[in-house]
Amino acid sequence: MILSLSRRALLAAAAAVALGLPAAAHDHHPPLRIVTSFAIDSMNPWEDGFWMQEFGQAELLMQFREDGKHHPWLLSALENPEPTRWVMTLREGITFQNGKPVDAPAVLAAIEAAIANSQSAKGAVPEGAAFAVTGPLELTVTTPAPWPELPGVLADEAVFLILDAEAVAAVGEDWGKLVGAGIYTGPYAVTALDDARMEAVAHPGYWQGKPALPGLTVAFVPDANARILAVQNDEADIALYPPLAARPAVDATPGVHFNIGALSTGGFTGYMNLRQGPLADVAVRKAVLRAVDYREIAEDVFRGGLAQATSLYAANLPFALENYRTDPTEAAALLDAAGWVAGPDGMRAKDGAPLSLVLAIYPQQPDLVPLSTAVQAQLARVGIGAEVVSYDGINQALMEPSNRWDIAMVSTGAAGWGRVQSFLDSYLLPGARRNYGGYDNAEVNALVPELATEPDPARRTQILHRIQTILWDEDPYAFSFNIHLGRVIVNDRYACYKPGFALYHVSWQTAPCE
Amino acid sequence: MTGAVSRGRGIIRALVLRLWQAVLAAAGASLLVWLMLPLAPGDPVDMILSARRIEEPTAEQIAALRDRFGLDLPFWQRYLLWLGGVVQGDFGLSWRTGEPVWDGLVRRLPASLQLVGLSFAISVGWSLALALVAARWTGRWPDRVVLAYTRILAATPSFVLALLVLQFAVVGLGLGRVLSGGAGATLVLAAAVLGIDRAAGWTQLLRAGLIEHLARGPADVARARGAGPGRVLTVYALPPALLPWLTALGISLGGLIGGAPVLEAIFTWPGVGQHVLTALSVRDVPVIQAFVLIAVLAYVAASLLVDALALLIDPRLRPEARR
Repeated sequence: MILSLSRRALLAAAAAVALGLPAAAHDHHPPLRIVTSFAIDSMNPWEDGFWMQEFGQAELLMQFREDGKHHPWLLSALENPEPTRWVMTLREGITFQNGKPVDAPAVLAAIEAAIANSQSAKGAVPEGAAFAVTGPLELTVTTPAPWPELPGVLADEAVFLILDAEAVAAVGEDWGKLVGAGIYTGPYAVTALDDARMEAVAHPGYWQGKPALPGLTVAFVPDANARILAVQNDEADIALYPPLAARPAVDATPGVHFNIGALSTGGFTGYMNLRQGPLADVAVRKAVLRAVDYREIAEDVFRGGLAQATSLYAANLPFALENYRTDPTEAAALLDAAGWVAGPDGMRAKDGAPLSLVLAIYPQQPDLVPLSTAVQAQLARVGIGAEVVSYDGINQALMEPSNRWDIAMVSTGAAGWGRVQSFLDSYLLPGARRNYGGYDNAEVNALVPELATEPDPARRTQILHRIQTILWDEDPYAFSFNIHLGRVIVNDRYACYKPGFALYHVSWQTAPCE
Repeated sequence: MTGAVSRGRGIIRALVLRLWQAVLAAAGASLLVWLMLPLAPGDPVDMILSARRIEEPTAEQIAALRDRFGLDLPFWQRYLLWLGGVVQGDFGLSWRTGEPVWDGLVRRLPASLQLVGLSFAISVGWSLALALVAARWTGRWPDRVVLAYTRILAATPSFVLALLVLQFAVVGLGLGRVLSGGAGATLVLAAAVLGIDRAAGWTQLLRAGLIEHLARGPADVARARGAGPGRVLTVYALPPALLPWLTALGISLGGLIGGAPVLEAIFTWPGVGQHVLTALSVRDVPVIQAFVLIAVLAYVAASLLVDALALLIDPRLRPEARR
């Protein structure tokens, strides 16, 4: 969890932890003002509730942190005594913002309500899973087969937000009545929500201590330039989702700062088309991986705004290998050995057919323009030609056989909230809805379903290592060009604020810098 | 008396005809949108689920959403269902929010009407003033300044102008705020940008009309009778030059309404703009359809108004003059 801590807040928090007292709050701070691009459409917890977790209103049973692991949050422990049984133990003394206790029956009610009403929750829970209260603060989950992804599911903001299910049921679908109802457990409770903004005030009974701010406002400003100008004009403290292209201008403007945060769980991923064209040749695929200069992309093209890819997964994930390397000499040797001979202009061909690839990008991600241009130049260094084609609606375009493409560049979360299974299921298995390039590797096809029910962490890591090795050394298909980094624009007061890991933008300790 | 009754009937007949044309235009536009949106790339189900943070939906999740919004029905069936609802005042539910489409638009419409109304007034006044100045001093420096100004403005997209205004007027000079919150100062700034941008083309049109009519017989006669340049311009050149200008105003109103959403988003004006842009980004067809329908009706109403004004200004266009 990334927290924006003032030095005094940090010392106070450390002292509080040492003494077992709540952390001191800074009553003199004005409310935090955030501008974001996406509107929170309603208080409907099943469709829009995930926003509340990002801005400090709602909380989850587990939390996905920068170390790439899941840690208990509202839980004090999550144990897996048997492969098909999980025991969840809640922390003592937690209440909803409306004062009701967060005990096992309340959490069970929240989980059952989510499964009944939320499409995300329905999709996340395996067939036959049963949740039951087994103590005042204890719930037990039993499943027909092992469910190793449960910690990730409990940390996923789109699945089980812990809320007062009784209060939610009481309003029917008149979601506006949930404003001020204190249905969540977070440090800030919603007091107003309309088309333009959400307002929240500090929850004085928050279980970790008194929130550092009296409240916060989240304004919905879809235009990126307007968000930056709002910070520049001191109408907002933090602007979320700034375009990378704005960085030079922001760096040159006094009073505003472009802050880069921790590694995210995804990046721009390349998918190779194995159905047609030169990438049907595995040597070309291997050469492409070695021709891409991952450091140059991160540090020179995006000036540190993106992180260098060192494997398919972000380096902070415990199962990530460090197996990526840029080696144009090896790439050239692979192509030579496969009969792709360089001509007088340095570009390669085989049996008269030029080695030329189509890089598919899409307009909704403007950063793909400089990325694809850089990759084009990097491929040319080993004699691979490339042209860039932009497809609107990339997911459909890539599945359309008449569209020509060889490498699709798509922003993908390979391990969102630390969950790896859905990416592997959707992108790598034959017939899966996002298997754009027709990948079909017998070993991967066996490893992915095994992973879904493999409870042993060591074996899981072994499987994920093996998949990464296959994708680099043996049968390349999906690969990362980079790993995304969190980024925000802030004013001087929040110059020390770092973008929240896994979209946790606001914690109870978020405060201006001293 | 008989002539007045007959004239009244003629006007009513003309109005009924225009209203019928309006209904046909609205139906045609809605059909066109229904025909075109499926051609737009991207699956709305993917986009809607992604907006709810469901990046890798299961087959069941996709099927549930398709079923909820009838996306598996044939195109013509969906269109007829939608049309049947509209006739009964039901515009359906937003695919993205699940909110009744009409509620979402009506709540935001007053703010948009304020913006479009004020920008239209600014646009009309500004183009009229500039065209009169340019025509009064044709070929001299005021005319050349107006011409250069309108050419630059006509080539400048309104969102660029909007960002320049925010940067220099709001952030630089402290006039108003970036985040409007519905404030009057923002309304004036946004309306001025939209109006001034739109006025450029209208100014050029009116200026050309004025110069043409200043060179015609009635203006020459007035000058020969001793009328001053100002009187010749406003009394003898302006009325006939207004007719094509008014027609252009009516036609351009659609552009004004269409351009408003982008400016609303930049100025954070709480109109339908942000709502419609978001709907476009996730292919929220019911919201897009309702907006198109409103825009078409507004366009037709503006054309009707322009026709009525033209009848008032130019007696030659009245039914009795045609006999």
